[in-house]
Amino acid sequence: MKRKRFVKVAEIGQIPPGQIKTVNLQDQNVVLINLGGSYFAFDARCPHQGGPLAEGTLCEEAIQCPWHHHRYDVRTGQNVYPKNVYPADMPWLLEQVGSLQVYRIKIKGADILLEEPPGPGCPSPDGEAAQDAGKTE
Amino acid sequence: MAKVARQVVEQAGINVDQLLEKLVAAAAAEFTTYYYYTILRINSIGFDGEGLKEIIEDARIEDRNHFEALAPRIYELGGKLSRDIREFADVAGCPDAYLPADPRNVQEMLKVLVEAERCAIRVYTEICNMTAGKDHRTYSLALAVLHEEIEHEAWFSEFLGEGPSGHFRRETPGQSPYVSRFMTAMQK
Repeated sequence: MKRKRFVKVAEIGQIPPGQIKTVNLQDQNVVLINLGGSYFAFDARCPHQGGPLAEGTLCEEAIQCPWHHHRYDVRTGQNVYPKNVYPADMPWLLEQVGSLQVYRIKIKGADILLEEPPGPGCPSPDGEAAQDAGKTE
Repeated sequence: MAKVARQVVEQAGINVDQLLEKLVAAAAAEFTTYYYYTILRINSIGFDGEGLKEIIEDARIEDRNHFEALAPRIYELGGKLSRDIREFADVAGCPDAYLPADPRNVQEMLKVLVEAERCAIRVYTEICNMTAGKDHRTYSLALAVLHEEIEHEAWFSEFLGEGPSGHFRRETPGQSPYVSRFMTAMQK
């Protein structure tokens, strides 16, 4: 049976509340944050133009890119600004406000584990089967 | 470039190239916002009489003033504005403030305006945090701009029903009570 694989990337004590830490997962930089005891993880590059989100600022549940100040909900990866003010009759703008890739997290004791993303060549991770491809624990 | 002016900022521990990136991004955001606010103001027909049009005009002109005040500091520190305005617009530190799909929808219009001001507040807070106690001139300028951006946010959020701004109208349109002292090359 194919199962999602989680790998240890940090320990709870390494990320105080409201703080950011960059970790490496399969050669990808991933940002870990602690929001009042809840942990979230997302890609370190802003999907807009690749800005360094680890240098961004947290605004409640949103991370703000330092380059163009796009904001993303760290729980879902959704762009919360400027998608909320981009006009519906200019749909091409949606290309600029794509979602941030977020990672599933498990806390095991004091360890923070991240789910590994699909490997190279895997199809789009729309379905569980695609995400599970080639993953064994 | 003002050689010693840059040197003292570097000696204070600031990465001047990084600061310049932020200043250029801020200037570009002011310039693009000035453009977009022109469209927003023109389309603010009959919202609260002409009340909303007046404050958009104040914010619009003050944003242009911010651009005017930032540009000399960028060059003093050895930076420059892009030769290509398209490239310049692309590095703007805040997203474009587009006219809503329904320009008769005052709530949508206000949302665009207030979000633009909130972005600007974040931009100048970052610059103030970066320069406080180290680059006195940039800090003083960024703080002056921040004062005005905060007032702009309060004006628009008042119309959104988020409570009184505590402000009254400018004495003259786009007066820039805080930033005007930095606009030494312009007739005020």
